[in-house]
Amino acid sequence: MPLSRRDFVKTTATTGVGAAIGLRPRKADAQAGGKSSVPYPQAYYANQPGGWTEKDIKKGGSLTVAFRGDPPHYDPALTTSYYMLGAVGPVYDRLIRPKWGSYANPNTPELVPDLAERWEISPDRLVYTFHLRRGVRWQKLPPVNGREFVADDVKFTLERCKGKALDFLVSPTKSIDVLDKYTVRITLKDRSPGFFPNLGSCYALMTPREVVERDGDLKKTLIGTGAFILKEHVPKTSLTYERNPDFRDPGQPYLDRFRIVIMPDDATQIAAFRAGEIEYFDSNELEAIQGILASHPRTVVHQFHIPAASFHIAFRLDQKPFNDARVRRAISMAINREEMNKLVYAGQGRPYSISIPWPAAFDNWPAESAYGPYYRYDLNRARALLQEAGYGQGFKAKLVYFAYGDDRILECEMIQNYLGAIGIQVEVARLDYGVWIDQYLNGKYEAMALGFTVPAGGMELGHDWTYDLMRCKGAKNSWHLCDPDLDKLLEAQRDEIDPAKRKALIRRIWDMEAQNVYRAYIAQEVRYNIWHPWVKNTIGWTGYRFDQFTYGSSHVRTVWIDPGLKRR
Amino acid sequence: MRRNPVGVISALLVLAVILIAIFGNVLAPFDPARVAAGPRLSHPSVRYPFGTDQLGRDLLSRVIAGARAALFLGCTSILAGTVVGAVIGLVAGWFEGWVDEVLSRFIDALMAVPALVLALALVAVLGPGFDKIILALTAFSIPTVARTVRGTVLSAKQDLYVEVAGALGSTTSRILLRHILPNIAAPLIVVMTVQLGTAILGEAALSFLGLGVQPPAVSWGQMLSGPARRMMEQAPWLVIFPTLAISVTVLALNFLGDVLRDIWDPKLRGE
Amino acid sequence: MLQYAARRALASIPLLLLVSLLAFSVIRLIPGDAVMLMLTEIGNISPDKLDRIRAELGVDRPFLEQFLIWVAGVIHGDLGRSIWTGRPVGAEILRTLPVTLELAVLSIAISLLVAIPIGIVSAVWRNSALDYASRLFAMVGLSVPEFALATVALLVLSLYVGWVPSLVYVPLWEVPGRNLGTLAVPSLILGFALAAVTMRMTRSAMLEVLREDYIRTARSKGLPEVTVVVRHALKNALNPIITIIGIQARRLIGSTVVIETIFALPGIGRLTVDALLNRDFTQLQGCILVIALAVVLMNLLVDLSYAWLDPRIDYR
Repeated sequence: MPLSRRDFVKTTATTGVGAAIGLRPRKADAQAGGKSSVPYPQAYYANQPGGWTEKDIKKGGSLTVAFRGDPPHYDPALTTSYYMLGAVGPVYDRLIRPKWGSYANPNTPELVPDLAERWEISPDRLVYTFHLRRGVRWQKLPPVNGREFVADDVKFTLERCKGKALDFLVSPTKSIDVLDKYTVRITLKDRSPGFFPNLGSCYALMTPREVVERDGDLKKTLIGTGAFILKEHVPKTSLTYERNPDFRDPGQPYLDRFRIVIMPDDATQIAAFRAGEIEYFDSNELEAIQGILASHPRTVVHQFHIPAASFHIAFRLDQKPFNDARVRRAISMAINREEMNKLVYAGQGRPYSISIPWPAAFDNWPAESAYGPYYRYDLNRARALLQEAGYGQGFKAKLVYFAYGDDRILECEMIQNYLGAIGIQVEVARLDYGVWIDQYLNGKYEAMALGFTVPAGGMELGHDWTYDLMRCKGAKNSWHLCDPDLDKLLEAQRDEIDPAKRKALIRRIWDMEAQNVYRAYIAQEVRYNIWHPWVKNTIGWTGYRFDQFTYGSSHVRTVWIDPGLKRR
Repeated sequence: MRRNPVGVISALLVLAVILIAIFGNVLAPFDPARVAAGPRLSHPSVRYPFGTDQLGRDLLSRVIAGARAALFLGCTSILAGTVVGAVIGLVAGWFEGWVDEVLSRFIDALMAVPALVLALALVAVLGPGFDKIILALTAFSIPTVARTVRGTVLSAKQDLYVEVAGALGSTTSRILLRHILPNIAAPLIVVMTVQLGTAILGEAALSFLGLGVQPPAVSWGQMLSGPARRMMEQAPWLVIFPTLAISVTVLALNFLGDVLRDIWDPKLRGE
Repeated sequence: MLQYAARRALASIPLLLLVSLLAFSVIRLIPGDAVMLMLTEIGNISPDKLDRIRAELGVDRPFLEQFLIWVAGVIHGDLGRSIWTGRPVGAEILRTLPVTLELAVLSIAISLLVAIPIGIVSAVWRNSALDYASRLFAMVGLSVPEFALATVALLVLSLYVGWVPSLVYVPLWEVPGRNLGTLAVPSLILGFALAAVTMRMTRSAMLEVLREDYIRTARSKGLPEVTVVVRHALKNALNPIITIIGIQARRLIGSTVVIETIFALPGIGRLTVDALLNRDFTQLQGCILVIALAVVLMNLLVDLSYAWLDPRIDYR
């Protein structure tokens, strides 16, 4: 029963659960076979891959991708480092997962069964019952030795998350009960719309009890139910995986071998890609990509504007002068987003960034009008607003940031230029990661930060990206944002079951944010993932962390290599 | 002078960099920090002799502004490092005994850790900023200066006239000022010249690792550390001009150091 | 001689303690901590849970106590475990040290191959065009930032030669050919950078020696110039050249930080910087100790080589 994209968005994105009820296991992630090319052409900057069907799949071969850093260890409960996630993704599985590969919707996750073959959700959305697939076995490695995966494993894994980095997965739960060997019932304290979809996120990985009992944690030993077995890890050099011969789907994985090599320097990755040493990497520089396309014209370039998590100017909303909405509006109106897009992202980004994932909720990018009056570039109006707020002479303020990619440096330089034009002297300070995480996540920065939104989980695109972030007492409120009216809306969307009504509530949250400029959006960055044409059924950055390489890597299970395209 | 063309050329180059740094504001055709001063990534042309960068900033103006940062960072860090290092060296060399022992071990300890690692740790402790980078860069010069000064003081003390002056009842400060200091000056200037180049390279390395000079201040290292290296095929001027600026300056400083060494003390060795 | 070596080795123990104490204090001053970093993006953890994790790692104890516990561990050969990865610090260092050592040895060898001939040529034909040209060549290596040189080298190789050294490191004892291929370009760049100082020292040492009486004597005996220069002059000029290698060891390890990052080499330089950036204090502490030890050993070797080269030096 394939759903159209629009149906899906209606149901999944706003409630996060509705669509999943109707789903049945699918054999493969390809289902639109026979077409001349894969869907979502807007997601490709160059060489959109051709369409294919299941019978085109070639088995065997190997794939090498580049990471910038090494996984610190293999325990998913202890860190959310994405290098860790990328390294364990091929080995661990979860109950449900988003659809993968070149036919998946890049805007919103479509959840499909994985270790759970079906589930029931009570009408009040407080009780979730999962029926596990039978005959799933752990990899044949000591101390687990190919034992069957059962309901106790689910309970063990989820309960282990409590008080650890993955606490958000289980914080809405009241109890986890094993009904029988293959059935688990999870009862929630509240209707947290994020609970169910986050079980499909790259964090909710099912882990074996025996290893924890032996070692105390999962830091050193990596044994899952997944398609690949970790054969060798040379720290700061490479991770090598081989196919799990006992994997539950006899056809999968398609690859014999998967390899992650660690290359911290971007210029080095480009050289290695050219030499064929790596087959997949990411970049933010259009010029670098044009260089590769000049020497390797068939290279597939996937481009994406992440519909959330985008960078914005974060203010200390509890302090002067940023507690005055007029000051924030003035700052927003001083920024020439069109120019910023042209200069920083070579015109390939978008003029407006967003923090609440509009595309997922409304299936398109917000029109300019959705941003309201304070996102127009108007220096005179901006100066007048400052004057009104009593800062006609301007002021000095610090802007801290961490260089997640070099674009951040450029963005800060642009902001510095723009705010200088209305008399705000910005002192920019690039922090190193340790200081940055401490200052930003704990809301300790002095005045402004080049912030981003960090949801817990993030698979439920309405709730996860607003509720814990924007409430007065939200655990991840880095901005000291506190508005009782907004809080009421946030509570209301959490408890609203009707999709249309919930969508209207999210729209009201959006409008409040645009009106008050709690965070001043800048231009929206573009990201590119680059791979050689023979790598099939892979994907680049998608809506948010849908298991692309470097954020989960799990989809390597369904990636295949077309050796015919390797020979020129 | 005709006998030493290298000395003349390198001295002229260093002088040119100093003049560029001083008169940068007048020389630069554009404000180095102004975005969209020209088109994005323009080739070198008459209007933009070194081309423009990603944000449409004039590269020539930025290279000129970088000269100021390089000399300012270099000179202040060298001066600070020299003062600290020279005091340590003087005290150690003059008093000898346990004072020397303690100070020398301290210098040895500093010498045992690579200067770049020390500088990185200092930036991590102090946080980013121009003044903090200056402090971090002193890590490159303090141990070298202290060692040079201590050695010179020790050998100067052996000289007959110092002993005689001591026997004649001159005060310590008088001996230091009249007899020791002139002896230190020459090797110190040589060391400082070469260390200035090291400091410029040190800042570039800090920038590469992401802990260098912050915008809107411009440094040569910072110009090389951003996206420039990835765009080298499409916009090679982004890499070529800052690299040339660093290399020519450091090269000239090194040659100048060599020449000064030859002039003042042909026997002088070490760094 | 042996006694001297032993005494020098013993004398370096307080030095290493001092380095460690200095490192320990500086590290504790660095703001931010590894516990926060491990939870990076998802910070839904209450402060008391953070404190519990800190207590488990022992990073909440008083400064001196932490230091003494650490020293006691080192004496027993235990450098502790990395806060970040949980792997033993000692094992991490043992894995990464050979990479950097190999890189260092290759770079020094290359620098000597470049520097000594150029230094001799420069000294023999002092102030000739050849002297200036060779000095300029050597000095360029010292003046160009290594990361710019490395990037140009990689681009030129990948674009115009169609070959890059394998950028995935394999140990020397596993696939020697590929290992040397991987290390060739980085060692050339580092060696080129080191050559300038060594060349300068060779040149001035040779100039000095060439003025000595015994060289004049050798020449007057009618020995061929090559023999005079190489056998007599160079042998006597070796001492200062070796000293400069010792002095450069420290700078070399600093440069490997940058080069290892670019060429994706799993060496101790990168390990140290990553530990610093990740606030992995136990790992950083161990790295600094081992680097300091390496520098001290290098200098000891240099001192001992004097005796081998020049038996006149008296060790008491």
